[in-house]
Amino acid sequence: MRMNEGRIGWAEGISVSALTLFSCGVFALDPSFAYENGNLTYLSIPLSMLVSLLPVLFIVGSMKKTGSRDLASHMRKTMGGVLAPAAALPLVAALVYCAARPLINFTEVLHRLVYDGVSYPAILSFVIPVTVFIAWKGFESIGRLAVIFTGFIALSVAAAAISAAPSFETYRLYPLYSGGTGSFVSFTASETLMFIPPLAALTVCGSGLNGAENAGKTAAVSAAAAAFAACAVQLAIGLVYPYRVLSGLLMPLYRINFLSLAQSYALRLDKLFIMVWLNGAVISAAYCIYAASRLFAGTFAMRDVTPAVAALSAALLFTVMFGVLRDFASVSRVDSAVKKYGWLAAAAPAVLAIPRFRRREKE
Amino acid sequence: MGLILITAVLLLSLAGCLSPVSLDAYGYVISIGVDSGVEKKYYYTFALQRELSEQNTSGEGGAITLACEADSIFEAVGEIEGNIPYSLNFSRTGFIVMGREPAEAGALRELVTTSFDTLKIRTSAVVIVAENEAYEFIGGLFANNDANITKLQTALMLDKEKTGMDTLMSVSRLIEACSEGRFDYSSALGGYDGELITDMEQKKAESEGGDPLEDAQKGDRVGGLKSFVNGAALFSGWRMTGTLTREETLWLNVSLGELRTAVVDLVYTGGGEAEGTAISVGISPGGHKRTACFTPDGAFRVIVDVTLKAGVRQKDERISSEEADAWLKGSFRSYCEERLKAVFLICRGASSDAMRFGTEASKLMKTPAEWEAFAWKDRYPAFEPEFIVTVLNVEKYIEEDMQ
Repeated sequence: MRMNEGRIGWAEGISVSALTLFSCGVFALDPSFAYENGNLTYLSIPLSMLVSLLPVLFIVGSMKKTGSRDLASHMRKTMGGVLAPAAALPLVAALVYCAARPLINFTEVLHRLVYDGVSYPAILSFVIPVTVFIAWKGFESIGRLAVIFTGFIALSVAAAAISAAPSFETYRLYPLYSGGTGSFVSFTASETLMFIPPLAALTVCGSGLNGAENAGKTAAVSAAAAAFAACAVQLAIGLVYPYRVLSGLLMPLYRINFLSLAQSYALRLDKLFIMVWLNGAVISAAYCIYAASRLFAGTFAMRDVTPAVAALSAALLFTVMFGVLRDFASVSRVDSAVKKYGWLAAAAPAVLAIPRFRRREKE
Repeated sequence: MGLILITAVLLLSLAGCLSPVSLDAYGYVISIGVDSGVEKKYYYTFALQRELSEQNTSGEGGAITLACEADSIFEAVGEIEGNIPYSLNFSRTGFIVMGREPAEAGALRELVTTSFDTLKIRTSAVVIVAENEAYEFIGGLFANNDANITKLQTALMLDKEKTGMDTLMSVSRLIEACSEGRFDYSSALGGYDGELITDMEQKKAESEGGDPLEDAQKGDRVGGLKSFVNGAALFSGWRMTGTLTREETLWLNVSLGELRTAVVDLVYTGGGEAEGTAISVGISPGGHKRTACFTPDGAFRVIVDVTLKAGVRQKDERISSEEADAWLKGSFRSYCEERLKAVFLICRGASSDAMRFGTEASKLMKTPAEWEAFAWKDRYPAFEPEFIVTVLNVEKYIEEDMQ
């Protein structure tokens, strides 16, 4: 067996999961979708993270009953060797999407706002190999890298938000009720696509976290931590830019200091910060790709995760390239469909596991 | 593990090698000027930071100005780059100077919406409307060979804090104002004095053995920059629609709660022997509150409650402390309310919500749809706020404390 899983502890597990949730909740937003009907992201995103925890805790509960240490073996036990790979595929696809989404936004920002006259492939030639390399080294390496970088990322995000404090104005949060309940619920539900897969990935890597119970606890703590951080950052963004401006701003956290007239070195750190945040997105993407590969290899009873990492890394590259060229109407339609209905794909394994598991319990 | 970390960090840090360009291959544009063109639509002026040469030991940098006519900024950049041995880089641009004519025609919209991201101009840049021509203003700004953009921007900010007579807002605020419609933008209004004898000219005359002030007439301003801030330009959406003097800008800042400190010079009207003499009053903020509501008949109402800490800086010696205190709390308070109302009427006359009352209206709305249906701009011509000023005589308290 060459699953490259290793063993990590609480700090590593929480760091990698919280970092991925934060990346997906802050850097992966499509502004035209998120701020279309007002700005309530400081409530909807944390809520979406906490709601996403529920199906994951359900999976953990059912894993404990079957005595499985990871999701792949649980699915094989409950669904059999034929159905399990098919049921795992939507979650594999959702994980690749979660890996790609922040990278798409980072590539776009680097291309548009940072580098002069540099093509998308040139930027990706630096980003994708690092992601693939980290994913290939496995879960333990990803977890330990996450612990190191989470501190830097937290500090840089806090510095960016705090330095923008003189520009905060509460009127920008109004109208407080935004687009109404329907819009709020719809956005909160659609965002679960970005949060269920990274949390479910903890159950995929359950062996590396020393069992399903630890995976569940890690998921709960990381969801709470990421929800708090995302709420604070989205609130800071909302106090600096009103919703109509935000709907046209890709990655507003990068431009959070642009209202300030003071010219100081502290306010010109945006390019340095974006590189730090990119490190976080790369580690998050590696985590998602590794978890997708681990699930794929596990449900197909493969003894080596490397071929799956190679195949899904290629899928990641394809998805990111597809994403950054989404000016095409057809690509845009795919993107919008994924955003609206993708959460169904992420929740599918849990839904599929329920009847089979209950039947086994009765037996 | 160590190998992974080192590889990851090194590979990502190599991202700086994407399209590497040495620093001297760039010309850093620190100001962009836009005037109306003769043969083409616009006349663009780019002021570039000039690096210190090895031979120059004076410690002064200075600026190079490049200009040409073009229909768009991209055409201008292409035209100029064809004639210089380096590329223009806009990442350090701190000022956008618009000539009055293009500002009134709404040319800022074209510049901001089409070129900022493409040219990588930071939206923290400040807009200044030149009373006459932008190229003149830019030339006057760098006439002292002081092209350090940070210093110039900081100097303007300090001026706002010290005198309260400037208004400075970034392009981000302009975009916010125009896309949200909750308020209107106001920028600094730049003036130009072509006759002024600059510091550089004085130094030059002195070094040539001449009289540095030979050409100056008594009463002329001497020294400093040929360009100066002469008030505020009022916008309605993307178009400039009016102006405020420096004194009127002070009251705009008071109404917005953005005043730090200022001195108001006026005539004493408290009666007695000193009636009609000059008096200077120092003011600083003591409190600022806006209360907005809808009246039963559906009208939007705002009460601006301003508390000013005041102290007489200079007065006729015949005015006693008690008389000064009574005057501050009576006549001066009324004067402040009148000035606030007068400046509001100027803004309203220019269809400019520079006092940002729309932001108060938006706080009363529940949904974006409700805010859009409210149509603030249509209601604004009939809107009238109420200004209530309270004056605290700070010096009186100091005296009481001393006793």
